[in-house]
Amino acid sequence: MKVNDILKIEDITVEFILDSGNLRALNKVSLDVKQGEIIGLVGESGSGKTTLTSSILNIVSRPGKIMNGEIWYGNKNILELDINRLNQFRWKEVSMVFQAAQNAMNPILTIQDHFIETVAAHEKNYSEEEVANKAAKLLGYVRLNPERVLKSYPHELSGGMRQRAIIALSLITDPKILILDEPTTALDVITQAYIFEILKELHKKLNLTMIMSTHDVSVVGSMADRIAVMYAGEIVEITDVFTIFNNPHHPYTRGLIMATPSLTDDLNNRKAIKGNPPNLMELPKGCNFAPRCEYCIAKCLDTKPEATMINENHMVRCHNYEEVIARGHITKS
Amino acid sequence: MDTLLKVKNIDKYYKGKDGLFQTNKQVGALVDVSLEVNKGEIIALIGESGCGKTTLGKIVTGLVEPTAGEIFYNSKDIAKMTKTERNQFRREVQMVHQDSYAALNPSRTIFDSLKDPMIRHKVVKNKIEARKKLEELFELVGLTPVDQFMKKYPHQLSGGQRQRVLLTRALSVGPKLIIADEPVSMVDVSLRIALLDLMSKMNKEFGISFIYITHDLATARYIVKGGKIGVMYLGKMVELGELEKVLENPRHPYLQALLSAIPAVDIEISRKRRELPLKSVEMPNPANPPQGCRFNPRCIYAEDICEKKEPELVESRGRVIACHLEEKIPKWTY
Repeated sequence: MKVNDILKIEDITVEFILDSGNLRALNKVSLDVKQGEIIGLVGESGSGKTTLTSSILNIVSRPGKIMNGEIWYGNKNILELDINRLNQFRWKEVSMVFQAAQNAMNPILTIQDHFIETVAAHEKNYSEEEVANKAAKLLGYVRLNPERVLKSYPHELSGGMRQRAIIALSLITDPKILILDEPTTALDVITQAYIFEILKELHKKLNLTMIMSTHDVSVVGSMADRIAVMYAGEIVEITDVFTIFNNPHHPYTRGLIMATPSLTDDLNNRKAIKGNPPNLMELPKGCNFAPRCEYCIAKCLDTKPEATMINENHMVRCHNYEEVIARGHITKS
Repeated sequence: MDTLLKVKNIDKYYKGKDGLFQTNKQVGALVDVSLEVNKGEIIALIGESGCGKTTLGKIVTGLVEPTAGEIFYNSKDIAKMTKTERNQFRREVQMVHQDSYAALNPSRTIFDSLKDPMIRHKVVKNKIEARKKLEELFELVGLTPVDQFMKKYPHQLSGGQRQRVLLTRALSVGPKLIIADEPVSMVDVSLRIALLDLMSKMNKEFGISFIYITHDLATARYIVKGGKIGVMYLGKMVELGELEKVLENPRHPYLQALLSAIPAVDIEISRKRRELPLKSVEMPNPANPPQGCRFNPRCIYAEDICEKKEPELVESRGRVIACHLEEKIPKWTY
């Protein structure tokens, strides 16, 4: 583990044990997370984003099972912690805001009760007053009015307000790492932009490390330091956000950026990625992306590409990435 | 160009309750909305949840009756149509929903789900003809191998494929107008453009008009091309005009706020994003809309007049816009 790494994911493999066979949702995924950075996980449904983020908390639910790998937080391998120590780790070291979390609140508890309940589950000594004060401070960070919100029931808040309250709730036990799984899906664009404004502020104020997953690469572009692109249970490219957008080396990354409609560029530049996301039960023999790839060469059909390090910070998993580079930077307008 | 559909001063009020013992309250889902769709045109309706865009779609398809106002389809008032005319209208105006999973019966195969509307509208006489017609259409929309897709159940398809099935279902009865309500918002990003391209193809090859309802200005820009865009806020149209003109110089402060909220694909632009030009992000309660201009409590430019008087839609710079301060609003830059 490098000095400034806070979390090290090594060779994680997760399989879903199904009647029709084992479905490999994550295939030997490794990822180092640096203290204080924001990582964006980008991928389509089924690419393994949520499985990866759940693995970090060791909450992959049945029929899913972590088959292999290690997740190091400091000198602890999270996957080997017993349930008591795991509960000390969850929420206190790493907390997670789940997809559609705005619908995850208990309808018969006030927001304040949610905070108290959470602290009660993770701390031994606390006073309700202390919790309420801290909650009020955190709600202020997410730009909610604590006096009103703490007394409210979830249904009295809008979707965007609930999502912000959940973000505040996730911070009540001072976690070092915050995982956000599709934090703004199902919210309106303005609310989405606002939540990103708030997250940026929180990141600065609290020096949080953030891991943020989304299916829309443009969403995390505004705040991530690095982006990991996932496809069919693997990270196919990871590097700094500028390289991902301007000079991606993986055909899938390039395809994703080219397929995202924008407000400013020439519409003729936009192009769909052909085909459909792969069926994880019937993955191709060679590269998983080969059937949809316009850079596909003979080798791609029979050999899985290994991770290639372009430089210290840039990994790509593609046999033919030089051809992608040769196509040049992504042109704008 | 010929007008296909004309929506004139539509109001839709729902009865809402303010509390358990209070008298019924009127919630204005749509207030005085007008819109014209020409033959072969694509129009985008933009707005956030609660702005009334879906209600407008439902009214246009005849699924919901407006409280006031008229809708003319081929110059005929849809409220006064004969049964035959009504059937023709029902066949020619189709809808594609956002949630493709909810829009298909999970216990029926794709073929079973798609054959019924064709037989019901007498597009085909029987199952055999329906199958033949569907085979052609499946080829056209790219659901191949055709045989396999016909036999499948909705859960066996990806979101993009199911959305293609819905477009095929709409296409199968020979529509003139398709209302597409957020058709790509639940579809993976890599597949969105392909679906939009398919809709463009249906528009070009068969001259089908589209009303594309969305909150996503970027996809709207992609599909509309030469057509119009209407921006809605809390049940009212606030800016309506040719998309190119409107986006080149967006005038309504709400539209400017929406634009600034959209994630940019251009990383240089997205990294230097400013704060949202809004006083508050919370949408007011539609049951209790603000006095005067409905946008005034959130508008950073609002003046006294905005609280007192509701702005009318007036023509300006080649579009209609409802803002008292239109002249004063600074030009928007990306």
